Parts: sequence; C-alpha cells; structure tokens
Amino acid sequence: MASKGNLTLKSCNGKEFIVEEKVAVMSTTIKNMVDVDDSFAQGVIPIIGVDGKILAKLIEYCKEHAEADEDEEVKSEEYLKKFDEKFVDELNLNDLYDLLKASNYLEITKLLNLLCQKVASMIKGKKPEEIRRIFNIKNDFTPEEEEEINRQNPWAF
Amino acid sequence: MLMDEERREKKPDLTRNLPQEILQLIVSLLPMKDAVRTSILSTAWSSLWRPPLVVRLPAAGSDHDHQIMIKKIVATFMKNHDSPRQIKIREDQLDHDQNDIQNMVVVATKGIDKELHLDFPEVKNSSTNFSVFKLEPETFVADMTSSFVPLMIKTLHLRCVTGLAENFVSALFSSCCFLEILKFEKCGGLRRIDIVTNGNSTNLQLLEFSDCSTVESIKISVPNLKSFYYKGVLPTTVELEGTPLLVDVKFDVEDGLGQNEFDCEQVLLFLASLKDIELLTLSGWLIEWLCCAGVIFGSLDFSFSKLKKLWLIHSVMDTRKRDSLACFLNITPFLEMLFINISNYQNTMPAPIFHQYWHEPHLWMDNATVKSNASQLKYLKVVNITGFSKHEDELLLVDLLLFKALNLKEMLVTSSLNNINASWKVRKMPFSHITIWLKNNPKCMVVSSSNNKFLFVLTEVRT
Repeated sequence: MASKGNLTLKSCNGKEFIVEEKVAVMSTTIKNMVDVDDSFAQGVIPIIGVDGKILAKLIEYCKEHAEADEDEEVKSEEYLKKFDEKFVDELNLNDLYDLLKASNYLEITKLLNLLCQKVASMIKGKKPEEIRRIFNIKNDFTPEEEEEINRQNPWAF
Repeated sequence: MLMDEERREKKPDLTRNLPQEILQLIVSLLPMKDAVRTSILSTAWSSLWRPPLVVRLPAAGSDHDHQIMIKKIVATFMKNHDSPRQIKIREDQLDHDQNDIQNMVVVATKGIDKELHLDFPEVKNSSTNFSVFKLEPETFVADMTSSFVPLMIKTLHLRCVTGLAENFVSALFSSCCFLEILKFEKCGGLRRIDIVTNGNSTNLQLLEFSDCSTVESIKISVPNLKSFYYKGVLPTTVELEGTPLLVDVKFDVEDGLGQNEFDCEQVLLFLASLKDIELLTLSGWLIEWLCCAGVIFGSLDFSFSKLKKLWLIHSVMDTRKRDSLACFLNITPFLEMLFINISNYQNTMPAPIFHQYWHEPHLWMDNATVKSNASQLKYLKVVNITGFSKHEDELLLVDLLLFKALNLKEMLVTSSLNNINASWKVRKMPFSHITIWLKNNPKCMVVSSSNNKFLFVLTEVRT
C-alpha cells in the first residue's frame, strides 16, 4: 500500500514500483486512470505489457523530468538535455523498441518523441541496406515491387 | 549503445510490430529524402505511404482547367495531412495502363513543416522543351483578385520543371504567399530564369538552383532574399537586383561555360551586385579567368566591404590561381575566414588567352613581387585549406597568406590521402629556430620553402 501522494505501479512480470504521483502522471494514460477512478490512486496500477526492466527505465526518465518541471533551479534545461542524451545512448535495440511501445501505450509524449528522434537520427543519411541491417528489418518486397518504388521516387534513392 | 554482436544475432524484425503511429512519428522527424527512402525498407514502412493517393485529371480538359484543378488538389493536400504523404496526379488516358508514368503530371510529396516537393516526370527527347522560367508580379496581382487561396507552403522543391509544368508552377507560386525557400533541382533544358516579385507579397528568403547545365541568363529581384545558391554552368548574365537583404551567395560554376560565352563585363556586374554580402562561395577558375581577361581587382569601383567568409572551391593550385587569388583578396579588406578547397582533378577550366591590355600590373611575375603588392588582411583570423598535398605552389600560397594575414589566429591544412583525413596546424619558422622547436615538439612535420629561408612546421591536429 502506497502512502499518500504515492502510487504503486505493477509490471507485467509482477514487479512493483512505488513512485510519487507527480512522476507517474507524466504518463497521460496513468493520469487519466487516476483522474477517473480514485481507487487506482489507492491500490496498485497494473501496467500491461511492460516488464520490470522497462518500467524501471520509464520511471527513471519520468522522475528526472518531473523533478525538473517542479524545480528549474536544481535541474536546468542543460542538465535535462544531457540526461536525455545519456538515457538514449545507453539503450540497446531491444530496450529501444520496448520503450517506444511502452511510452506510446502510456502516452509519455516527451519520451516518445525523444526515442523517435533517436531512431530518426539512426536512419538519417543512411542507405536503405544499412538501415535494414541496423534495425534487423526484413526486406519483404518482391523484386518487382522494389523496382516500382525505386522508379516512383528516383530523386530520393 | 548498439553492440555489434547484437546486430549479428539472428533476430526478428522488430519494426514490424511497432504500431504504425510510431513509425509515422519517426518518419515525420526525418528530412524529406530520408523520409521517402524509408518506403523501400519493408512493407511495414511503405504502408505509411499507402494507399498512394492517385488523382486523375480528365483527359479532355484544357491546360488551364488542369492548372486550376491541380492547384485545388495541392491546396487540399497541404491542409489535410500532418504527416508526410505523397500524391500522384496523372492524366486520365484510357489506353494506358495504370502504372505507366508517361501520363504522370506530377508527384507531390509533403513533408513536415509546410514542405512540398513537386516532381515532374523527365521529358525525354521532347522537341517542345521549355526554356524560360518566369515568375513575375503580374501573376500575383491577377491572383489576388480572383479566387485566391493562399497555400500554406514554406519550402517548395521543384524537380524537372519542364514545359508542362511551367504555367502550373507560376500559378502555384502565385498562391504561395508564405513561401520562404524555393529550390530547383535538375534544371536541364532551362535557359532563362526570371524571378521578380514585389515586396509585399513574398517572404521568399532562399533560392537555390542545381544541375543547371543550360542556363544562359538569370534575373532575380526578390526584396527579402537572403541566400542565393547556384550550381551549374556560368550563365552569360546574372542580374541580382532589388535584393537589398542578400547576405549569402554560393556560385558554383564547376560545369564550366557550357554553350555560353565568357563575358567579363557581365561577370563583373554580377560580382558588383554582391558587394554587400557577408558570405561568398566561388569557383576558383572564375577569379583566374577574370584576372586573365585583364581585371585589376584593386582598381574596380567596388569592394566586398562586408564580406566575412569566403570559400573558394575546386581550385587546382598553380601560379596563376594563386596570383589571381592574391589580387582578389585586395578587395575583401574585412575578410575574417578564408576556406580554400584544392582539388587535383584536371577537369578545371584552363583559362584561354585573352587579349590582355590592362591586367594586374604584377600578374605573372615573380612571387616576391606579387607578395609585395598584396594588401594586408588585418581581420583575417582563420585560414583553412583542404586538399593540401604539400605541393610547391600550395606552400607558396600558405606563405603568401601567412604574410598577408597580420593577425591570423589559425591556419589549418587538411589532406585526404587514401581516404584518411589529416589536418595540420601551420606555423612559419626561420631556419635558425628549427632545432630548438623540434627538440620540444618532436612529432612535427617540417617542409621547407623554395628559397630555403623559412620552414613550415606542420603540427597534426587531432579531430
């Protein structure tokens, strides 16, 4: 049971995290749940489809940003920028995917944008072959389809 | 961090399972070309661009009807979608099969932030190849009064603007009152470019033309224009008038003259119209040709009194290039940064024999004379030479610049042998000091000048 102002989040593999409400409501999904139904604020909020490792990551991110929103003196914009950079740099590909999905589901817009920005930066300026290699993307076109796409946008390839 | 072992491991394609809105968000964060390129990664990515919107124009309609229709289509297109999308507009011809690009009128691709790319099909062996591109204020006036629908476009890229496209583009352009950037690519076949707008109707700040292999004349009068970029052959005339805010010009005429003739007076008029800019990029051969044709830069009735940064591109460095550069630098008294890109490819333009009767008095004389005639560049702080190969002519250039730039803070030379970029900081040092210097800095490279009086010490810079 969480104390007042705290919420308990439970991952899909049963791990529980007690977090401050201001941290948890960085997620619009959680915010809506708490706003609509008071019982969530008392009990345990299950986070479906997100395991403990990813949930911990999410909380780490939200904690920094919630604190920064509250007190700009302690955590300046510059500090946050550095934190964000380090945060995405340390992710492996699997975590990146899981976080993308989780932050989309939980509607943590800032994080979702940050992660998409990271993926975009990994795509930018690279040839399709390289991008496929980096992200394990399987080319499932028929040669004819591929040819057709190439033909339609010759300037981009 | 993405570890290599992880990449090598056999893994399922995770992007397949990402919700489409995430892929859409990622694509919307990419520059246009990269965004369109993702469509070839896999069906999951290409589905973002599907179903392709194909709009058919009735085959029987007149050109004018088509233009109005296309304009309406583009206006709706720009309004309705936030993420990158593509539409294809084609003429409806019963006999053609659906994928035939023959009857394609235009492919419009919309990026984020009010960006629109219009791709016109390349017209092969067309006898009616259009050659004049004209945008003038009349079209604005006409449109303001009639059914004027402003288009929310900030950046407009046009590719292969050919005959069919001309009127359409003018019509479209006249509705783009928010347009800031206008770029033309693949301007083959284009002979004349006229862009004249009046003050109140445009925000146009950047104009760019590339692949201009046939352009003969350019006339531009755009009051808010800040940047003008051109790449192609040297047009016979370039008129930039009514561009008081212009600060940045790139004039890359690496394609040489094409079918045009070299008109020294016209080039000078063009340069004179740039006298108030701050950033300039020029092809090295142009300066040499001007000098050979008899231009005495120091005696011209203008100088680049606001120019802060100068880039000279694709120059083979030889005596003439160096001397003409020295002369050119006489009219850039406030230059702060100089970038010289030396290329050793032999595709550069050898200057023809001009009938010289008033060339720079010291030109084609010995280096010492050129040096003593060169005016000093008090404000020059940084010189950066790329493509450096320690050739004698290059060393003399380094020597000349070190001499001219009294307050130089840094001279960097970069060579890219075997695809490895190495940069050195250059210092000049009398012979007598070299042993002491080397004792303290054993990792330097030393190059001697031709008269053996001085040495250049090159210290490698780690980047």
